[in-house]
Amino acid sequence: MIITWKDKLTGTIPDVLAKEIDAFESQIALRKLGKIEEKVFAETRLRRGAYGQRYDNGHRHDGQKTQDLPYPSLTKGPDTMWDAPGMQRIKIPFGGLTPQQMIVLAELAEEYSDGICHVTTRQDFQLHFVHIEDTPSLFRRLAAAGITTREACGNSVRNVTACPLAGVCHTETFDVTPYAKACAYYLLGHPDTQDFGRKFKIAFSGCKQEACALVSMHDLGGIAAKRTIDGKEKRGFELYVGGGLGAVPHQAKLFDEFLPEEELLPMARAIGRVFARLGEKKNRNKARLKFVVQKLGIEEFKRVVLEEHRTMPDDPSWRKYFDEIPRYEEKPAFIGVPLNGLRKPEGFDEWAATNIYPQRQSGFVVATVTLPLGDATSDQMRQLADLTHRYAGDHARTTVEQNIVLRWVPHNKAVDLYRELKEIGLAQGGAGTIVDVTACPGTDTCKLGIASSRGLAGELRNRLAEKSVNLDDAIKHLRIKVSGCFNSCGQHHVADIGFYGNSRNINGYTVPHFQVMLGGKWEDNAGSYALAMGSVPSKKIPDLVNRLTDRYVGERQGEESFQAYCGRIGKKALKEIVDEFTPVPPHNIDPSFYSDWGDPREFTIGDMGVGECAGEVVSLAQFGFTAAETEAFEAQLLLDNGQFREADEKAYSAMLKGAHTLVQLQWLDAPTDPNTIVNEFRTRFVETKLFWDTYHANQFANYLFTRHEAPDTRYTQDTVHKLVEEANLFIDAAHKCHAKYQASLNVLKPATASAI
Amino acid sequence: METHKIIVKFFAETAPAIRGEQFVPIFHSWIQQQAIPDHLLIDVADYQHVTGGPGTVLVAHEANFSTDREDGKLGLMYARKQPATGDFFQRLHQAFRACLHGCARLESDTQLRFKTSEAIVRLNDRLLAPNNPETYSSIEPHLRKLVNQLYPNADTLLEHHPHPLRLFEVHIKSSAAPPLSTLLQRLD
Repeated sequence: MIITWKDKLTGTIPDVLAKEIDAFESQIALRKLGKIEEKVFAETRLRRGAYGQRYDNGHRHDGQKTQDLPYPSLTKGPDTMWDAPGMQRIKIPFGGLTPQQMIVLAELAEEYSDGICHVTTRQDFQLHFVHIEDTPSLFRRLAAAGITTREACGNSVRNVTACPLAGVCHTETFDVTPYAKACAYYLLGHPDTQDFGRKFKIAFSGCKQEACALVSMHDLGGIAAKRTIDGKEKRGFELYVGGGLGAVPHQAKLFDEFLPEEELLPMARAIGRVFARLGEKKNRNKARLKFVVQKLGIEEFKRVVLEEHRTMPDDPSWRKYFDEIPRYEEKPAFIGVPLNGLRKPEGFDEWAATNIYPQRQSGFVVATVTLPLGDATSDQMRQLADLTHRYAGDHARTTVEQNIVLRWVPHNKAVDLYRELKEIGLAQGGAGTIVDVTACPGTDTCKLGIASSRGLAGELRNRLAEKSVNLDDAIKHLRIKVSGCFNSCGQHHVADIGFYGNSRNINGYTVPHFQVMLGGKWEDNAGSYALAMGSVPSKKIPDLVNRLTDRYVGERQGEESFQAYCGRIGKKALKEIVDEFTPVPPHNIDPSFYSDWGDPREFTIGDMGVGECAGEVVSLAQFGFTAAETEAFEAQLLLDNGQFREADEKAYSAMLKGAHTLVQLQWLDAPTDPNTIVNEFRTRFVETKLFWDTYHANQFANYLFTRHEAPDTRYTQDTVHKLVEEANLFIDAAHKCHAKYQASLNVLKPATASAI
Repeated sequence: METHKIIVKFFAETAPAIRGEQFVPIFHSWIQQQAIPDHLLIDVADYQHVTGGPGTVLVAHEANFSTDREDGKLGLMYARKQPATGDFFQRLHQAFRACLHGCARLESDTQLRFKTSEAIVRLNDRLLAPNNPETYSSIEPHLRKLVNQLYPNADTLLEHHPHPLRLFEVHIKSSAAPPLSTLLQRLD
């Protein structure tokens, strides 16, 4: 018998996670058998971070024609072919990483992906070209290292981000790390965050004036604040809601000037409940929280949330997470020692000027490891894990600028760290400068990408790096950010110079372009958004960047910032600069304009697909029934394996899940203990004859009642086989009941409790 | 040995006069022609910006082909990801054949020339093939058989260095350096 990761890691994975991964593995098997609706499976895998990639609608434009990729007809979700390898997103709350986790990520990239660990603009990791069959093993190995991919995508609470300098920053009010962590794990899988119409992003900053975690562009953001109340200093948060980028960027609105720390988790839950209830479910383009806030107005939104907070059922579980906060401590492994005139290798000073941040704690520094385009090889990641251990006492974090920082490095060790980083090709300087261009995946792998954001970012990076030594200080610290489309995953709205991909039709040819966005503000937690200035052909963008920066250096008044400069010279003047670069030569004169950076194929948007960022809108009931079916399937496997008692329990649990799903149609917060489920199910669905079959009367309901009240404890092959069959029949009947119930309400979509 | 995740790399002869980015259009042309038998070629990923990385990756449904530059040594690496048919020897045979096929194709499309007297084999599976002497013992007969098939009448050497973190790897060296076409014929 072949050993599996499941066998090997048994006992090392938290029980809840182990069960979830087992369930997902069963769902893959069920989907392969065609027993789970593809839309439901799509959202199921998305909520575990498993995305489709660009080509996996089964078509790919090869530069000459669109090729049909001969995958089997089965899909793993709308327009997403089953066999096509996809992208796996891995959540890293607040970016916190241990060396052991870095090693596991390196191994997974090597064994299941293409050997590249990619850091995203929200402190996640992404692996590309991963086969879905490999995902359960991948999840188990991550779980054993304390990482989950749960809700890394889909309509859920995404990775909770935080300032990578939290805890060591000079200007922070207090360390937000434990709050970000508490929020991430409290809301992970929480029943009140499972029925969103769209994703929900949270960020925490330690101070207001720096960029930190870009609070203003998040659905929910907290900036650390302190107040003296009754003579006692109290921690809390300046709380913001309804921010977001995307096609229509919104600055977050102030929800509360000071939310006491103990209110953070309950208030986040209340906001989640309001979003689930009032957020748009049908039109995903209007489904983010920002649209709810906009529609209601911040005052009414606040009133609704506070009312929800007052009346929602008690959930004491938040205390478990909150009580951990005071215990959080990040201890240095070494003694902080200043440089003390240590001899420095060539290149160290230039690197240190941009990549070393002296910590608040004397003698320690944060060293930024610049990852070009957010990428590191598995080998580099393994060696970085070793350096993290030897120089930073195991303290590393990813950043939203797609780098990794090593914290608590004694300053005098930074010299040796630099030498070792150089040996593994990771000693590039320029962190946080104009050279450190960030980009989303764009057309490289994303179904929605229109132009090659990574291609452009790579080109800009190369050109700017070549002349970085001679760059004027005024432009050195500008930021360039590139998105492949208007959805803003590259955060172009908050860059000094931002770009997002689009295209133009020129004489019958499609030409890759980028919309130019100028004057966004990275500081002040993404304090203001950039203005669109027009589209420029992709191949002209580097020249445009030169022109803009030259003009800025030449015309700058005193210490004028780029935002202030843009504001002063005005949109008209900026537009004139941009317009100079818009002409596209005819194809026969210069065909290079008709392909994109890093991709020699003739440009096309023919292989774009339907985006998966938004996830699928699947009702709570559909999820509930899927969970019940999964358990029934697992019961069958246990039965086949001769584990009769376990199979009996699983089949019973499957029926309870089906019944609970129905009860939730009328009572969203229905408890999950078996007695309550059975009683409520009997009262609400059996006695009312909603759960009634013309030919079988109450037969299917009786399967549950019998197992609940008088279980057959013989646990033989026959008795358990009968129960497993009954569980399947019960779930079928529950589906029918649900449909009947929906019809009685005369609604098109499966009901959520909020709609009833 | 149960794993199907076999990696084979043949190194390039001396530093070739080819820039990394030139592999991108070449791999795209392979997709246009579906140039590798028994592989569904689907995408190209370029990682030239990463030091010592996979260079340019031609992604097939079954495996990745990459112009790998680990330790600064350019070569063509074949990494099987999806199950292949047959026993371990047959899977090993398949991986060598696919890699050599890619090398031959690159030689015909570029100035690149491959060193045929040397190759590495890795097992990309820490669960089924940990990097220890036991794994080596279990695959050594299969590997020896294949090496004898590739390099009959030549002196050959298999080197294995156990390491707790790195993948299982065997370095193959031969006193003979036959042309790629000969190696491919010997696998027929």
